[in-house]
Amino acid sequence: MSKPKTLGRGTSAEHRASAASRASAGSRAARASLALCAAVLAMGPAFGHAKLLGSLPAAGAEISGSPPSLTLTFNENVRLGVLKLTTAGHAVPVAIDPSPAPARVITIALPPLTAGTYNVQWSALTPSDGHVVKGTYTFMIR
Amino acid sequence: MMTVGIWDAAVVTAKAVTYAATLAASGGVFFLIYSHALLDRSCAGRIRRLIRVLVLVAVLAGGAMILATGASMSGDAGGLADVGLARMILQAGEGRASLARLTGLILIGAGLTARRPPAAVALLGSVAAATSFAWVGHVHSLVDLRGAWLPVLAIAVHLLGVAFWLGALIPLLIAAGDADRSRVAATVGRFGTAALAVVGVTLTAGVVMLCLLLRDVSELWIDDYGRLVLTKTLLVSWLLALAAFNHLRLTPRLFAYDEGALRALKRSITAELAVAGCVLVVTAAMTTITGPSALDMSR
Repeated sequence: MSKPKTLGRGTSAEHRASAASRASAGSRAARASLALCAAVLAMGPAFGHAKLLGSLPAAGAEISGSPPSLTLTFNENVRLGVLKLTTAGHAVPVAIDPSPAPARVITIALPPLTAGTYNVQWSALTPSDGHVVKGTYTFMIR
Repeated sequence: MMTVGIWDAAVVTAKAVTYAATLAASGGVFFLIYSHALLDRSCAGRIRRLIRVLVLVAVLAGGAMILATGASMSGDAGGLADVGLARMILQAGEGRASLARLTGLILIGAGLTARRPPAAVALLGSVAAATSFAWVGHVHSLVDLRGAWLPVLAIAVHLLGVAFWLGALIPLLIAAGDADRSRVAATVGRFGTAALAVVGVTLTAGVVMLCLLLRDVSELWIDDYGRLVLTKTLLVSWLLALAAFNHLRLTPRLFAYDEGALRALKRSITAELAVAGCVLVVTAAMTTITGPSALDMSR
């Protein structure tokens, strides 16, 4: 039985050509990855599988008088992590439970609010798998 | 409605790096175990060093992923240091997954002793680290919803197969630098033969998961999650084509000591790494910014 032969390492020119070829492939790969990341991130607003079904005050609603509370209703149990209320660029202090129990309907007490447009930014986690669901909406007090 | 912001992109990136480093470290251990007798001491040493670096990257990227998720929820950098949010994220599944992954990575590091095949403890660590992603995410939700362990079994098998396949690519590139071409051919041949069975099982497990997560085949083009699944499927098909080319065309030429085949193999493996990177980015997006219809309680 013939013993397998061992070839040399090749010329330095071959090595340079091979290295350049691999570098070129790597560069193409990096560009492809970046393009793919951009395409994926440009997909739009869907986030996780939990969904906000509705809110009170509702998104885009115009109400008269300060609402006593803000209610978010989801399609499954979530834990609310963030709720930020702003008006005219100023934050309105809102207290949320730091370790809330999972719930489909979450109600947060509001301080007295004056007339103006309010922006609500919320963020929650699905406790079963840790997926983030979040969104923003506005309502107006006349 | 919201748009995908910089912190969401950071979560996807950190998650993709965590996937890549963890699965590559686990697969690197598998590679060392089944190829150790064929590798020269220098190659085996370089692969061990690679695995140690990957373990470190996996730990750091996993931590970055949790911090970035806090920032993504908060919408600003303040979320990076929000202990309450980090606690909530860990309690919601990421904690058990991170613990399993960290334990596995520590075992990999402890079991990689010099100049010997990896110990059983490294193998155990590789299995724990690779399957840690099954402890959180959409497929795990199916268990909570339906009480069935088929989804977790399918994803665990899928993850181990992916680790075996993708984790061998950089070690193969390292082994291809060996001056002894007969050893290179034998190493590539051994991986290719084992990969035939592993890839088949991996794809089958992937199809089982899709059947559980999608309600209708039309979702592949009508919703975001389905379109990402379709993108991933196309990329995996590309990977399969490259792997088949390596196994059916290049490996026989390597056994015939064709120097051109070795250069072609290195190019092909580099391309496989690039496509695999894209697959992991798409997977990270699938598991972060979209959800499958089977988990949508309002449908």
